[in-house]
Amino acid sequence: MSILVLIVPLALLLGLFFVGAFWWGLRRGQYEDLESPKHRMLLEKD
Amino acid sequence: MSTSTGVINTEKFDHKYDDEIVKYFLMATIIWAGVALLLGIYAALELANYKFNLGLQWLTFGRIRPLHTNAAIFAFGGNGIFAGIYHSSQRLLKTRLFSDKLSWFHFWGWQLIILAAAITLPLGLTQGKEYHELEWPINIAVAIVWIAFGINLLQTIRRRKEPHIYVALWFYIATFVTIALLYVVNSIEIPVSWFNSYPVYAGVQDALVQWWYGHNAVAFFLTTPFLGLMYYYIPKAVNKPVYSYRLSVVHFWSLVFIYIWAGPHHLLNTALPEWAQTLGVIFSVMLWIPSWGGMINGLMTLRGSWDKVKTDPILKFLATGTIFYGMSTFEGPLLSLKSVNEVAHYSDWIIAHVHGGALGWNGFILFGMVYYLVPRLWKTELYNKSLAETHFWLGTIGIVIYIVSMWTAGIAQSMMLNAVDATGHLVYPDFVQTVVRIVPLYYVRSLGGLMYFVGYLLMVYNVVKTIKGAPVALAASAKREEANPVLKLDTQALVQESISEGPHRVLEGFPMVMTVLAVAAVLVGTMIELIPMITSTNAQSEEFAAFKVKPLTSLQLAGRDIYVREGCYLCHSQMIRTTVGDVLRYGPASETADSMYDHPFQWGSKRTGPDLARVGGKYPDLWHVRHLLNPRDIVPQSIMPTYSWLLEQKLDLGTIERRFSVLKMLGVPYSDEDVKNAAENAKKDSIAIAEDLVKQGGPQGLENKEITALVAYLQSLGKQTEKR
Amino acid sequence: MHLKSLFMITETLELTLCKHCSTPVPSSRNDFFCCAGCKAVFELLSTTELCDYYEIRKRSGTFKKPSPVKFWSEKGLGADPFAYLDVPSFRQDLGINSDQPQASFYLEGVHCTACMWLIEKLPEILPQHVANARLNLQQSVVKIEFHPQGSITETARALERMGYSPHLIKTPEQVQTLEKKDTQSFLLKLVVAGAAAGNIMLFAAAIYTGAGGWVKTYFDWIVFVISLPVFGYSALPLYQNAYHALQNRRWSVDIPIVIALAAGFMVSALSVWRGTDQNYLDSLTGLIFLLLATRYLLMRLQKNAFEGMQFFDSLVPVQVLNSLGQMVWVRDLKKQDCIEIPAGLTIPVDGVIQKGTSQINEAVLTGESIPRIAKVNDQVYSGTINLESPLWVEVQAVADDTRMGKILQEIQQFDLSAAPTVRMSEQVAKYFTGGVLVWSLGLWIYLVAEGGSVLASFERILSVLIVSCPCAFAIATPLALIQAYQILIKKGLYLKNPASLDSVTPVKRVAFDKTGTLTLGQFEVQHWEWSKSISPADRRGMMDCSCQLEAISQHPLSKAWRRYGEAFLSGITYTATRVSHFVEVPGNGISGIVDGHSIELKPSSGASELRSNDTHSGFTSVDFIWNGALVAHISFKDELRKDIPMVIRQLKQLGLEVWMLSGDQKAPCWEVARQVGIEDSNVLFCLTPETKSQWIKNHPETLYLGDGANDGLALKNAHLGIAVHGALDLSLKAAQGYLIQNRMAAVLDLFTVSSETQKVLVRHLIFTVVYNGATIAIASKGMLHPLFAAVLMPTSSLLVLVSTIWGTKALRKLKVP
Repeated sequence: MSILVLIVPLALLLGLFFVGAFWWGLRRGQYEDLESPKHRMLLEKD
Repeated sequence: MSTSTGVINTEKFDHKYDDEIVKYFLMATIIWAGVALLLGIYAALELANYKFNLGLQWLTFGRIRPLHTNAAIFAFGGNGIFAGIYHSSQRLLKTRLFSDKLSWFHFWGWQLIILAAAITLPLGLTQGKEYHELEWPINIAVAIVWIAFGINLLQTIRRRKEPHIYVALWFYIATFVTIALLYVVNSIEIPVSWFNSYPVYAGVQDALVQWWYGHNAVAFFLTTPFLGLMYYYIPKAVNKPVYSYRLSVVHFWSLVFIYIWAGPHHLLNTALPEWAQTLGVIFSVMLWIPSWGGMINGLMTLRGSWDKVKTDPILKFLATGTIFYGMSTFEGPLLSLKSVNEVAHYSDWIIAHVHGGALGWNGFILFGMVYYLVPRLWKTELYNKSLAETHFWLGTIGIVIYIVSMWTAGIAQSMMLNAVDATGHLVYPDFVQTVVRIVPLYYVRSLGGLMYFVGYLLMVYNVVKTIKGAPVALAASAKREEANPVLKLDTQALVQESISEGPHRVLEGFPMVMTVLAVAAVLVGTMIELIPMITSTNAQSEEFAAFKVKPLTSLQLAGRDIYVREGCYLCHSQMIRTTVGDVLRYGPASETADSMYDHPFQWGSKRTGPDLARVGGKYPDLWHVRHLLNPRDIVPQSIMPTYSWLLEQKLDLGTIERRFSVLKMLGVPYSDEDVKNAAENAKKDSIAIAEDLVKQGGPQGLENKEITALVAYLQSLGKQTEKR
Repeated sequence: MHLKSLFMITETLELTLCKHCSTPVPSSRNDFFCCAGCKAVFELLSTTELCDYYEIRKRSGTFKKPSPVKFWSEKGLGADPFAYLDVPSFRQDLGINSDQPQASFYLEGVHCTACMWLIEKLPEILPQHVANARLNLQQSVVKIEFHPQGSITETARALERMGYSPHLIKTPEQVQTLEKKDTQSFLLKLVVAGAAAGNIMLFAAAIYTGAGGWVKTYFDWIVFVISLPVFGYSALPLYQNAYHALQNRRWSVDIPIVIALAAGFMVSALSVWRGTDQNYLDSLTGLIFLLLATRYLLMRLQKNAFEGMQFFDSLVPVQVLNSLGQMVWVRDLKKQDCIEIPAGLTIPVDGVIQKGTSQINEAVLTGESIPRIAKVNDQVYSGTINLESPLWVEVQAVADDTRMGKILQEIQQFDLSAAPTVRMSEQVAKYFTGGVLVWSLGLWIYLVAEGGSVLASFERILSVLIVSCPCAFAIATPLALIQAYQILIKKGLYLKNPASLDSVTPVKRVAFDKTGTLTLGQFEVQHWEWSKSISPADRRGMMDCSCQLEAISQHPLSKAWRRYGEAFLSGITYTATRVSHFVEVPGNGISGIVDGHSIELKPSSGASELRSNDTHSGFTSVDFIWNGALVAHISFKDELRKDIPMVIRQLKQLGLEVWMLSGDQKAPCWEVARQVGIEDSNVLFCLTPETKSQWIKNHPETLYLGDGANDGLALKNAHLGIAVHGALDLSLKAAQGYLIQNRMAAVLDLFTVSSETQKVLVRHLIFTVVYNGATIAIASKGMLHPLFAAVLMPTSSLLVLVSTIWGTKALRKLKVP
C-alpha cells in the first residue's frame, strides 16, 4: 500500500487548495450577502 | 467603454457574449450523444446475442464497450458540460469569455481527442484501465486541452463584471482543478511504443489509484459540473430563485474539503487491505448527505411551480434528472455496504446503478439544457413542444426498463452464483447456468436503450426543425455581431485593465497563470521521479515478503498485452473475492501478491464471464484454442464472441525487448539477459506450445501466432505465486 | 394584504386595481392610481425602457420583508430633505472620498426581484451620477458608487421618486468593516477546524479499523500535522476566553475545555512519538470544530437581534439653513454660528435666540405639552419644535454634546449582565466548572493511588473534562432573553434593556395613567351649552372670535375647539391681526381681545347655573366668558384607546390588580374607569406628579404605564415603567420600555413572553443537571471514550440552543408577525 505515500499528500494538497479558495472568497467578500445573488442571477437576460 | 452623458447607453450593458462557441459545443453534444447511445445499444445486443459481434475483431464487445463509455462520458457528457459552462458562466459573470482563441482551441482539440479515441479503441490500442483507456499521446492531448479550458474559465472569472461568484461557478472551478489532478496522477505511464504504455503502478497500487480516479471521474466530471448546471438552469427555467443559496454554499464546501477516500468502494471484499475497504464504505455513506443536499436544493426550487413542470418539457427533464441524481446517489452508498456489495459487485446491478446516473441524471439534465438553449441561442421558438414531451416519456420509460432489467439480472445471477446447498456445494457450479437465465433480460435492456435512443432521435428532429425555422436575418446579424474584432481588444483591455486597477490586479495577471502552470509542471516532475522509487521498493515491502512471485515470461507478457488489447477484463475478472461463493467456485481468495507485477492491474469490474484468477492449468491448451476459436464448441450456451483472428495474426515481438526493459525499470525482477533475449525466448516458447497443440490433435501452423501467447498467459494465471 | 384576498374584494365591489401597486381603487376615479406616488412611479417607468419592471414583477413572486422599525423619515423637514447630501463638508465627515464617492442607503418598501432589478438599473437611469448600484435584499440596503462629480442628492431624489424612500446609513464605514472582519476571521477558524477534523476523522477511522505497521505510523503523523492548525489557529478564541477569565479571576466555561485540549494534545503527541495508540487528536479536533460551530451559531443569533437598533441614530435632525441661506449639515456647525430655524422645524442645536419670538413645544425634554413662548436671549434645546415663527439662534452645542445627544447616547448602551437571571446563571456556571475540575483531579489521584497507570486513567479524566458542559447557563440564558427581546420588538414593545424582562415576574399590579395612556389624549367637544340669552346671530360672531383666539394656543383643547368651530360655521379664515393681548397661563385657560371684545376661556370652577344641569358632569369642561359674562359652557370628552377594555379584562384574568392614576378631576376619571372596567376603589385622581410617584414608591411590585412626555418622574420610580407615547428619547430616560405602535395588547405579550421564557430557562436547568450528572458519572467510570465525549458535549449545547430557539408553543405563536 505504499502508493498512499503519493495519494494521501496529493488529496490533502487538494483539500488545502480548497481551504485557500474559501479564504480567498471570504477575503473578497463573497459570503457577505447570501440573499441577493440567487435573485440577481435571474435578472440577467439570457 | 465610455458612456455618453444623457442618452442611456445600452451598448455598455448589453454584454457581447460569445454564443458561437456554445452553439458548436451544443451541436457536438447532440451528435456525440447519438454515437454514444448507438454504441450502447450495439454493445447491449452483442451481450444478448454473440452473432452481433460479426466475428470482426474491431466490433467485439471488448473493444466496443470502452468506446461506448468514453463516448458517453467524455464526448456526450464532456461537450454537454462545456456548452453549459460556457453559456452560464458568461451570463453569471456578465462578461465575455476570456479569449476566443482558447475557446476554439478547446473545442477543436476536444473533438480531435474524441476522433482519436474512436480510431484507437476499436484497434485495441488501450491501456486496460476503465474510463482511462486512451493511450498516452491522447492523455497528453487531453491534459493540454483541459488546461486550456481551465485557463479560459479562470481568466473569465478574473475579468468578471459581477463581483459575486455564483455557486455554479465554484462547482465549475472544483471540476477543473480536481479532474486536472486526478487525470494527471492516473496517467503516469511509461510509453513502450507510439500507442502502447505501461502504467508505473502495479497490482493493488494501480487498483487504488485507478479507482481513486475512476470514482472521481464520475464525481467530478459527471456530478459537480452537472450540479453547477442544475443550480443555473433550474432557477432560470422556472424563473424562481434557488431554494436556499446558503445550503448550496455549505454543501459545496463540505464536499470539496474532504475528498480522498471514495475510491476503495469499487474494491470491496477484494485483496485490498481491510481498513482501506472500511474507509471506502464510511466515506461513501458520508457522501450521501452532500449529494442529497444538492438534490433537495434543486427540487425545492420548483416548490410552488410544479404546475409549470406539468406543462414545460424543459422543467420535466431537469426535475426528473435531479430525482434520478437523488436515486443513484442513494443507491451508491447502499451498494458500498460490504454485505450489499457482496451481491452487487461484478454483477449487472452495478450497470443499473451506472445507467441510473448516466441516462437519468446526466442525460436528462443535458436534454433539458438543449431544449432550454436551442430556442434562446437561435432566438426562436421550439419547433414542437409535444415532441419534446414524447421524448421525455420515451426516455423515462426507457431508463426504467433498463434499470429494472439490470437489477433483476444482477441480483438473480449473484444469488444463483452464491447459492450453496445443505451439503455445502454450489447449487450452480457452471457459470454459464447463470448466464443462460439472464440473457433474455439483456434483450429487455436493449429495448430500454432503444426507447431512450428513439426519444433522442425525436430531439434531434425537433432541434433541426427549430434551427431551420429560426429567422435567417437574426441568424445572419448574430454572425456579424460575433465576428467583430474582439480579439484585439482582449489582450489590450486585459493589460490596460490590470494596470488601471492597481498592483493587486497586475499580480493576478499573466504571472498568475504562469505560476499555476509552473507548479503543475513541478508536481508532475516530482511524481515522475518519486513514483518509480516507491514502486520499486514495493517488491521488498514486508506485505509481499511472505510470497515468492515469478514474473511473466516474454511470451506470457505478449499474451497479457493481447488480453488487455481485446478488453477481456471487461467481461472477466481476475480477483477471487473473500466471499464464500467466490472461494467455493474459483479457489482460495486472491492475494495482493498475485498481481504485484501487473502493469496495469486486470482485476476487472464485471463478471459477464467467470473469474480467471486461477484458470491457469485448469484446462489443457487445446481447450483454450478451440474455446477461443468458437466458444460454443465447448460451452453451447456461451455468449462469448469468437476470436478467430488470434489464430491468423502473427505475434508482434518487435517491442518485446523494450517492454521488458520498461518493466524492469518499474521493479519487475527481470535479469539483463531476460531483457536481451526476450524475443528468442518468446519464439521458442511459442513453437513449443504449437507443437504440443499439434500433438494433442489441434490445428497446425500456430507457431508465432498470437493464440500461443494468449494461451501461455492464460495458463500462467494463478500459477505465479508460492508461499515462501 | 395577500393578493388573493385582494381579488376577492374586487370581485364583490368592482374596484379597479391601481396600475402600480395593485391596491384597490374606487372605480369612480378615472386615473386608476391609488395615489400620486404610484402615478409618478408608473410614468417614470414607462418613459425609460424600464417598462418590463411590471413584467418581471409578475413572473417573480413577492418577497415580503418587514422593515425592522417604522421611524421618522426626514420628509417633514422643509423643502428638500436630501439637499444636505451634496454639501462637501458633510461628505468629508462621513468619509466619502472625492475620487470614488460611495454611500449606502436603507430603502423602505423593497420587496421583490423587480425592486432589485429597478434599483440596480440606477446606472442606466442616472448615467451621469451613478456608476454602480448593488442592493443587499436581506437588509434592504443599497450601496451606490458615484461618478466623481455625481450628485448624491439627485440619486436620493430618484430613489424617492421610484417609491423607495432612502435613509442614509450613518454608521461610518470603519465600524461596519471592523465588525465584519472579526466574524469573518471566526468563520475562517471554523472552516479550518471543520476541514481538518473531517480529514483527521477519516485517518483515525483507518487506524481504528485495523491499519497497522508503517501505515499506522504514517497516518498518526499525518493526523498530528493536520491537527496543528486546529490547535494553533482555530482554537484561539477558546484560549482567549479562558485567558481573559483567568486574568480577572473570573471562572469561564472554557477553562476545563482548554485544560482538556492542552493535556489531550500533549498525551497524543507523546503517543504519536512513541507509536502507542493513545491518540485523541480526532476527538479533540472534533470537539474544537463542534464548539466553534455552536459559538458561531450563537454569534449570528445575537447579531441579528441588534440589527434593528442600528437605524435609531438617524433620529437627530440633520439640516438647517445657516445665516447665509445655505443648507448646512448640523454636525458641521461650530460655536457662535448663527442659524435660522423656520416655523415647524425641529431645533437641531442647543443655543440662544438672537432674533424673533415664537412658541416652542418642549414636550421632548420637559414633558410639558403646552408650548412655551421663547423670546430673544432665551435658551433653546435641540429636539424641541419651533411652532410659530422663524427664529435665529446662536449655536452653543451641536450633535452629541447637546442635551438630547447625551440622552440618546445613554440610552443606546445596555448590558445583559444586569439581569439577575444572567448573573445567577454565571455564578452557577462558575461553581460548576470549579466543581468539575476538583472532581476530575480528585478522581485522577484516586485512580493512580489505586495503582492504575497514569496514562490509562488520564483517558477517563479527559472524558470527564470534555463531556461536562454548563452550556445551559453560559449560552442559553442570555440567548433566551435576546429571543424574548426580539419578539417584543416585533409586537411593538421596545425594551431599553432585555435584562428588565426579569423584573416582570414579581409584578402584582398594573397602574395606568389616564390622559394619553387609557385615552388617546385627543379631546373632542362633547357638549356645547349656550346660555339662553344669546341669539343665534350673536352665537356665530362669538364662535368666530373664540376660534381666532384658540388658533394661537397649541393646547389640545384649543384644537378640539377649532375643529368644532369650523364644523359649526363650515369654515373660518384665521387672521392673526384680529387678536391682541393674547395671554396663556398653563393650567388655567387663555384670554385676549378679538375685534374689541374681551374673551376668556378658562376651566369651569365651582358651581354655575350652567354647570348644575350638565348631564355630562364627568368631563373636562370650560367656561366661555364674553366681555365678562358667561355665555357658554363646553364639556370635552377624550377618545378611548380601542383595545384597552380587552387588555384590562385579560390582565385581571392573569390575577393582576389594575389601577388608574391621573392628574385629572374625579368626574372624568370615574367616567373613563367605568368605561374601561376598573373598579372605583382602584382609581386615584387629582394626583400631582409627586404624589403619583410617591404612591408607586410604596407599592413596589407595580408595572406603570404612563405618558412618556409628562410622567417622567412616575415612570422613573416605578419597579417597571413603560412609556406609552411622547418622545422616545425622553421617555426611555425615565422608563424601561416604550410602545412603538399604539397597540396596548403589547403589555399582555410582555407578561406571556416573560412567563414562557421562565419556563424555557427551567427546562434547560433540568436538562443540564440530568445531562451532566449522567455523563460525568459514566465518564468517571471510564465507560465513555473521549471521542464520544467530544461528540456528546457540543451536541448537548446544540440541543440547548435549538430548544431556546424552539421556545414554547406560546412563544412560537407570538413569533409569527
